[in-house]
Amino acid sequence: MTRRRLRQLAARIGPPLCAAAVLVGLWELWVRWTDPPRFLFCAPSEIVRDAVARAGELGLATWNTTVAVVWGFALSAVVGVATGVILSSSRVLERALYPFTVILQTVPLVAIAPMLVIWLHAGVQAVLVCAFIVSLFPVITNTLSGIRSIPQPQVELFRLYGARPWAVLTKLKLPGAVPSIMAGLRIAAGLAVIGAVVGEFVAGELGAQRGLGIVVVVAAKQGELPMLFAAVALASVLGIAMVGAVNLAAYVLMYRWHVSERPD
Amino acid sequence: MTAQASELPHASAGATARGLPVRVTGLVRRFTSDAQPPVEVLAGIDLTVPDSQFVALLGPSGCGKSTLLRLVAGLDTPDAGAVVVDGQPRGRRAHPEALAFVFQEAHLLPWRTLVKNVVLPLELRGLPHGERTGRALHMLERVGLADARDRYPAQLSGGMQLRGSLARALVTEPRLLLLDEPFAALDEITRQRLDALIHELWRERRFTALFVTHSLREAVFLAQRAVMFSHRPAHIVADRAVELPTERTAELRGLPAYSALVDQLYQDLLIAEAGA
Repeated sequence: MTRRRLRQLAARIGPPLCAAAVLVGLWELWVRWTDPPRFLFCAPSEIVRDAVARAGELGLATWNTTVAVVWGFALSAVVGVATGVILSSSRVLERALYPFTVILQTVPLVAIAPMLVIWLHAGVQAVLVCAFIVSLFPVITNTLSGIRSIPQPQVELFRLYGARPWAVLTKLKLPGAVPSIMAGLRIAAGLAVIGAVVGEFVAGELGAQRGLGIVVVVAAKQGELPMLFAAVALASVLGIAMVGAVNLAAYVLMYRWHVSERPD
Repeated sequence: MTAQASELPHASAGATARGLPVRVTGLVRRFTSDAQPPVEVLAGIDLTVPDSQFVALLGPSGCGKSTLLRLVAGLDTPDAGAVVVDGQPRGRRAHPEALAFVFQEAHLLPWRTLVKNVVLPLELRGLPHGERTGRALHMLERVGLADARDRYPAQLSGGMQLRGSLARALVTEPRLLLLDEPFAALDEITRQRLDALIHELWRERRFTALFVTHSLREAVFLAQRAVMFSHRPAHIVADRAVELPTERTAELRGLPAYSALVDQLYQDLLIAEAGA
């Protein structure tokens, strides 16, 4: 990596790191000064201390949640893009089915998660399906609008040259919808983490394998505030990593040709 | 796919192949919307274009010239009348081997490099990889964009993008070229350069050309014949031969005959605008 690239990287990640350091510092000082009851609040140093002491347990929980999030997200990416493509192929189909995809967005996950656990048993699969359901809608709707927004003359160009439906899909619709699909996946990546954690909340009580959501539930019940915060922090880091991965993919796919990824 | 590919004239044959004759009879097109009464855009157009003729289609904005072009291309279906290209009535299927269309804007695919955009029509028709790239590069050279072959459309100026779209249209060696106001958005100098380029290519390849434009000067510079349409429902108000030397160069714009023809078309346009 050249010196210039390093400087660019520092300019990118420096500011958020500084902001985080200042906030955490203020938090630590405030807890030391006011000394609140430990079941109400704890200091960052205490969180780090407990997290290090129980690193094995937290590491395993993070790994379990990550597996569910990654698979749930991957499933929603594939199913979401495919559904968007299918809905875009006919207005009648879109009108018939689109309203039902909105249910995915509005259904309270906490209400159906117990049913999922009963149907799928309280393992990683139930948690994975929660992540999948919550993150599916933005992928469908963005794929659909991306395909619908392809300029008419480009579609006609393919028609003039007698392109087969498969060629229209792979050479026009999908590449043309990539910017939109990436926007949908970016939202889905964060939602998948929320879905998995909520799924674990429910599945945990029925004896699922331990993920971050279960660490949160157990820590809350036992009044272990530092563990609760540590689990929440790790879930946040997981969310940031997921969104970061999508951003990286978007950059690789589009930096050569799309305004949104043009280096400034 | 192979059957289609073999129907393509090859680069060597292209130079001698002539354009396709086009005959339009009693062409009617109405657009219906839910609330309003149907709008008649074309009211029975008859137009016969012999092979290899360069025809400019002129008229007030929104009069239906573009609609006519789209009907000839098979991108739209008429409510009555027929379009006959090379003796064959046009059906609903819109991929005649020997036809190409240049849109108002370049509409290159932004995720493909220039050469990959020019290759696209050949790729869709299933030509072998080596052959199609060779032909695309040759075409890019012909429009003066060989150096920009690996650039993306966003990295090209408007004029370069249009030259790219021209290369994309001509790479299949079309025998009928339909141009829908391709240079409307360009500055005058760039536009004149592109007109000169089209003229050269037409002299080389002798395709039949239907060229929709708002510029009377452009029409006189390029065409052998200028057809003036009225307001919608469009009918033909004037059909004039452009009697100028076959070879058109920049000096042409200084000739009295050139100005006289532009004036005459201007009078026709006034009549068309008045709705007579």
